[in-house]
Amino acid sequence: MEGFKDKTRVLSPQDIKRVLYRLAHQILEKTPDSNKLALLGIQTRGVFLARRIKAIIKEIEGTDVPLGILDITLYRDDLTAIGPSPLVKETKINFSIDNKVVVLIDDVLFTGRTIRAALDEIMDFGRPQKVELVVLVDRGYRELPIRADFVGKNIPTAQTEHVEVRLEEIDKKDEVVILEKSNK
Amino acid sequence: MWDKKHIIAIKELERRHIEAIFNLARNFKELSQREIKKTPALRGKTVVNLFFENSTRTRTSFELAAKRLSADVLNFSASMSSLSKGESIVDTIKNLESYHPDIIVARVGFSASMRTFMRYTDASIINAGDGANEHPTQALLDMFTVEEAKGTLESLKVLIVGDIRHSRVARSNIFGFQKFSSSIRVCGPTTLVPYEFHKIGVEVFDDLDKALDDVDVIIMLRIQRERQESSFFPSLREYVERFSLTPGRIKKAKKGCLIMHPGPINWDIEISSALKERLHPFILHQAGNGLAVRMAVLYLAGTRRKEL
Amino acid sequence: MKILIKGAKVVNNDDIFDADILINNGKIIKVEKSISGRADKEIDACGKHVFPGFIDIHTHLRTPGREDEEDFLSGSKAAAHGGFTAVCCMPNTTPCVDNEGLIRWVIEESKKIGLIDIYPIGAITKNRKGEELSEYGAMAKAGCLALSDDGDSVENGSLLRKALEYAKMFNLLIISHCEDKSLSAGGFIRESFISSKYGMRPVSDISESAIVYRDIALARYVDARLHLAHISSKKSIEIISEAKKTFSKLSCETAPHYFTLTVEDIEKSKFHGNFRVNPPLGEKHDLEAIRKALKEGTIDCIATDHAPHSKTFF
Repeated sequence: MEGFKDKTRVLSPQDIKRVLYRLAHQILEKTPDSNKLALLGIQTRGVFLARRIKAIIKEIEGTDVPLGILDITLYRDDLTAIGPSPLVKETKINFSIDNKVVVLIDDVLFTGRTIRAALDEIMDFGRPQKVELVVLVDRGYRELPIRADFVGKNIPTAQTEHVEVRLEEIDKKDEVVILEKSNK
Repeated sequence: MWDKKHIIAIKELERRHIEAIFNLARNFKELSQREIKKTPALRGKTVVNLFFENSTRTRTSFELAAKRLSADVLNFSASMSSLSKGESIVDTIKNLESYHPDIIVARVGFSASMRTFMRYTDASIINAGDGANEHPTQALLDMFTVEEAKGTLESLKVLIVGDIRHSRVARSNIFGFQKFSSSIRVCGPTTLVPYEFHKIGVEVFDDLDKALDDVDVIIMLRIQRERQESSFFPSLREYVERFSLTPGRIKKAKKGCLIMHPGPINWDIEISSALKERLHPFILHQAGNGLAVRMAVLYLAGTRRKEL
Repeated sequence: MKILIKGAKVVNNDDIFDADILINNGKIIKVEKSISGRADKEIDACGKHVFPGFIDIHTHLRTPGREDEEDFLSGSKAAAHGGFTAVCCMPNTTPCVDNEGLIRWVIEESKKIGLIDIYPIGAITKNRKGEELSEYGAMAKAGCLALSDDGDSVENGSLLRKALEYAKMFNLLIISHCEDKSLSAGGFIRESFISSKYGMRPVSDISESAIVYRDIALARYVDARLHLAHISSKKSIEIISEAKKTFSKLSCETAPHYFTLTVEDIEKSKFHGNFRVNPPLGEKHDLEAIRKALKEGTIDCIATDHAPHSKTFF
């Protein structure tokens, strides 16, 4: 990230693996009938996390949980304020979410605005029985009354810092780091 | 990054702009397949459809596109307007400007006249057809449809048939396909292919049988009856004889050649009705892509940087 | 009152030379090197050219009828400001200057202002309709020097022939506006690469040159004087240049925009309305041909075709 440098690594590849197994177990514990489940990964890194959780559930339960991809750009509340037209990425939910327990998966929970947008978008797709939120990292500083059901790791940060989740699939390595402003 | 306030002409776009529009359009196509086909992206924005020439297809397509993005849409057409009471086009724009529109989708009869609009409004202008100059969203949807079907826009042989002289669709498509190194042929009566058109870098034909040889894409243009009345060709019978796409002729094109038409089609004039069953579904699919492409263009104009 | 202009480069019809100019009560009394003596006003014209007053043989003063666009006062001021001491004004007004009464009126009204000399040009045909000849004899008597239906050609060849013949009796010059409207109808930009690229209604140069050819042929046939207005194309110049070799009663003019601007400038201006003129701006080869023809004398003079329009929009 421009103008930032790595400060501390808070999760190693091993940590991430363990956390994801735990989150998968927590999801299943709450909804033992895995046929009711549907996973929705939020673009971009939420999608990769969702894919990994799907694989873990398959490993544990033997069931293929449907997986959808959600891009929330068009539902952002700052779409015209942030300036240059943000890229719209793919949204792909090729199953009905009606009466499903939809598990929304994202990498970092921060202000809560992304999740607000995601919830609005989900409602435009149908009427799930329930929506649960799973995040790898919760770093605090919520601006909306939103809370995750399952959290990989709570990481207290300063507001000036930045939390970056790096995943093998696009970043070539698995880790979570706190970034701070570089002096340069 | 998107850096255009207005979308006036394909001439003025670069390849990367066209690609950005197509990337968006693909995602908007997905949106149109949802149960609820609307997103709040342009909530609170005002889109004015300002049409000084009749149009049903383009206007309704823009209207629906804007509504799908939750913008407020105001339709203003010449017939209902104060133009008939003697108000000038400029005064009309100034009047609309008092509503602070964010986007004006405009169609006028004068070629290359969109700049006049820019002088009197802060809104983004989207050209929905200016005289015989350009109709950028039509070309974008044509190209999008070709890319979807062929997987590429590179190095294709594209043939445009009909009234090239008066066609903004032809001009926009020529400039568009050329940006992807496709080669363009135009074919029509010698009176309807403009003087010096070869200088634009197209191959000019007056014999459809020859022009069809080995082409990947054919765009058939609509023939307007008034062209016959002003003696550009003596009769529809002669036009059809030489320029109508028939089952026999179509064999000369490459196998799997795409056949498109901006609509509305005069069956048995531009295209033989014997081909209707075979060709109409794809032409309707082409029209359907117009919605996604226009949503993409509206999204880019509506979420542009303020300083543009 | 004496005015002395010092150190000027004096431009005459046949020569350019250094001299001082002494003017007494509005009359040039001496043009010589180093005039000494006292003057009420001395003008230092070092490094400057001094020309005789210009005559513009082609203007539109819009009066009578569109005094909101131009009247004799504003037209006179504009002319004087640009160094013109005499202008000839075209009769395409409302009503049309096609009779002795209006010829006399224009002369009298402009004399009241007295800034410059205004010479009215009468219409070749009544109301410039191209149907009947106007009364040349009466107009000539009233002070008319030339005739033109400027804005339109006299479409009917037989009528133009009669006009050329009849005008000879009064030594009136026929000025032809050369435009075949069936070839130019609805167009406003020269047929060119640019008109094709932007799909604009074009006007081909033959709409001018075809009429140039016809009108010269008619004038030659009846041995009448003919002047061709605002020549804008290479094709016309080729025809004129050839005709002048054997026909001495032919003259023509061009206008400044035809040897300074081309259709490419219209594109560069992003199609600004100020570039819309009739005949439309030509291409590079036209501009070059016009410059050459001016140098060689094929084109006899430069007229402005000054034609004020009020600011209206489409």
